[in-house]
Amino acid sequence: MSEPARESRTGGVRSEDALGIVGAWIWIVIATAAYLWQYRDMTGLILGALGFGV
Amino acid sequence: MTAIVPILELLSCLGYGAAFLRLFGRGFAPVGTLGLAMAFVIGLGVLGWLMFFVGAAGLFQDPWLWAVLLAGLAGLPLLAPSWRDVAWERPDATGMLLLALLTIVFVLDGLEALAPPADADSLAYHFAVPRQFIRAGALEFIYRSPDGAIPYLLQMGYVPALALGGERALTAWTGVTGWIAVGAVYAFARPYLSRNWALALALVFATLPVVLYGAGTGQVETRLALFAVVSAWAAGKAVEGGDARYAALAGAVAGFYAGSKYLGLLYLVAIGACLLFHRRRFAFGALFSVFAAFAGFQWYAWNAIHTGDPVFPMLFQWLGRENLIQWPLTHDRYFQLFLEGDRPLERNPFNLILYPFLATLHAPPETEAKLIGLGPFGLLVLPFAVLGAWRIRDRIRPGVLWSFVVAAGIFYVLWFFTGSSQRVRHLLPVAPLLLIAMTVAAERLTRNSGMRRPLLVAFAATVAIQLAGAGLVGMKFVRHVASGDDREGFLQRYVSYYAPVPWINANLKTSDRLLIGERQLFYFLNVPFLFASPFAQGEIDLRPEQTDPSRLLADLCAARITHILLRQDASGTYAAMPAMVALARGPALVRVQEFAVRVVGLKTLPGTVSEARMDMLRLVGCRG
Repeated sequence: MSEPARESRTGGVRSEDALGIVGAWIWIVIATAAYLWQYRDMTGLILGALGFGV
Repeated sequence: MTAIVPILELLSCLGYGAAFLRLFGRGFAPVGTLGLAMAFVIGLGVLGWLMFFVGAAGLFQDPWLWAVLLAGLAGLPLLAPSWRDVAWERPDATGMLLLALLTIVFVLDGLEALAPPADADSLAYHFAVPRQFIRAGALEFIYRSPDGAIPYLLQMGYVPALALGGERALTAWTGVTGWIAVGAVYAFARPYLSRNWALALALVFATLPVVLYGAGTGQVETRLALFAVVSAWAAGKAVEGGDARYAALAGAVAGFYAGSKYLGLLYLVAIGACLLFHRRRFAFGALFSVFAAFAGFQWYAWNAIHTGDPVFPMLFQWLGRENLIQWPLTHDRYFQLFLEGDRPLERNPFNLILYPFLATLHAPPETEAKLIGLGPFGLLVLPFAVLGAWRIRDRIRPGVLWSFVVAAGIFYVLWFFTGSSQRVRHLLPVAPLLLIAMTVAAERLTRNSGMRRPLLVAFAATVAIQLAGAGLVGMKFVRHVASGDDREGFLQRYVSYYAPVPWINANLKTSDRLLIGERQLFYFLNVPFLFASPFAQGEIDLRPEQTDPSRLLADLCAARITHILLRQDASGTYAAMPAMVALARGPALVRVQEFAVRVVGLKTLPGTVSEARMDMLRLVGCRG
């Protein structure tokens, strides 16, 4: 599958690709944090299971 | 025998599958890793299918079980082209890392396979029912729902493992089949992804919380994923190339799914719908239906013979026998209320879309998705996959990947709207379809792109989180092996309310019948029993609204109950059963033993363990 060229003639990254890359990073960070956030109430239990009496 | 039987069963499945595929003609089946995976999956279905008839004929004895396994070996020579075509290339550094991580998971799963079974559902029916059949030497109809009278095709594969090799062979067999599901994800992804991407995807699948939870137990969903992938693959090949033999194969394998779980009926519809996209839809549909019915009908016929309802008890109010003592119509109406409790989300289009996000980020407890979910991968990779699919939208044609997405999508919509339990683990069988399709789309999108790095981080984050979960889950098995704890010690530690079991087996006779509310103990019992649930059985009215002790006594006597095992509540009685409290005050019930028991909240988290007490009561009030 061929992709359109991403390098501009000046050697920089095209603006729409840059937007996609930044958006992807933001998505990864927020989604990972949101996923982990639901386990915040289990921190003590998990540390306990690992042998750290909490 | 512990090691020999699972290996023999593995080879037998491969042989049966190869022989079945040969029925479609020489050169029909793929070769290499994909061919081996397909042969095993189909053989798993064929073995379960055969075992039904062996059990129905009352032949669950060792010689017959050996004969069934050994007969499968005859098909092994047909796999020679596949063996020859398995390619082994030296992995690069990334491949080595992925293989090392897979090995860690494999070792933890191996330790689980060495430990005694402790999963509640497995002990209640996945393992307990095959054990019951083996003890009886034949199939028996179990008037219990939702975990008694159900399709058991996959669990029929547990019968030879348990009967011939014992408990450890059984847990080894579930370990082996769980890992074959991981291998199948690799094999079916490999035609579309490089080896490292396919390995990474296999690692993601192997460490999904729901796979960590169920693959090494008797739960069927991980193994059903094998049927789901092969039937969707065959449907894709049928609509892609127009070869009707693939439609027949899709029907047979989807039929195996239906023969293993009621939800397989929805999957049959989903796969059938995929076949409608080809101009030979009527021929495909006819072949698909015939093969599906042949592969999956037996347990539905078994239900219909005993209750009148092939999908007992879903249609019992219309098709059920009116005079059935074990499941009266009045009880059936009460049972429908139980099903409502498994559906926290109202069934509407908005919730259909919301459910996957809710199940990933803020799961209602009834979905069990917080601890037994599908992990963060789908959420993290979603935008990459959607954008990737959008980019190639003009080139999307009916084929294998298309069929993966369509089958999974239709199954999900049907599952959501038909009122099934909303536990997320019921979606596990179609998860590999979406994992493969999403990864292919995301990988294509990010090839030679700056978005590659965020995608790799999404994979790495998923694997890191899920591997941490795998380590946590595996710790109890590591401790078990390291401590040299024996079987009883492990069971006392990890099975809730286990303490009365040794006493029951030592003091009750096979002429007794125990009323017991702890389903996770069924597997261990050597005496007849009845589940003391107000919903699951209809012989004894145990609803909280039933407060009449004389009626309860009449029910208990009619059901030939001799002993009752009850949990004490905080007040030292059994307040959830008011009639039982009243009966226990009189002379009809005598307390013969009291037990201090452990109540295990989450086996992985020791902080969730508490203590309780149970009573063993003897019923002395029956006349005659």
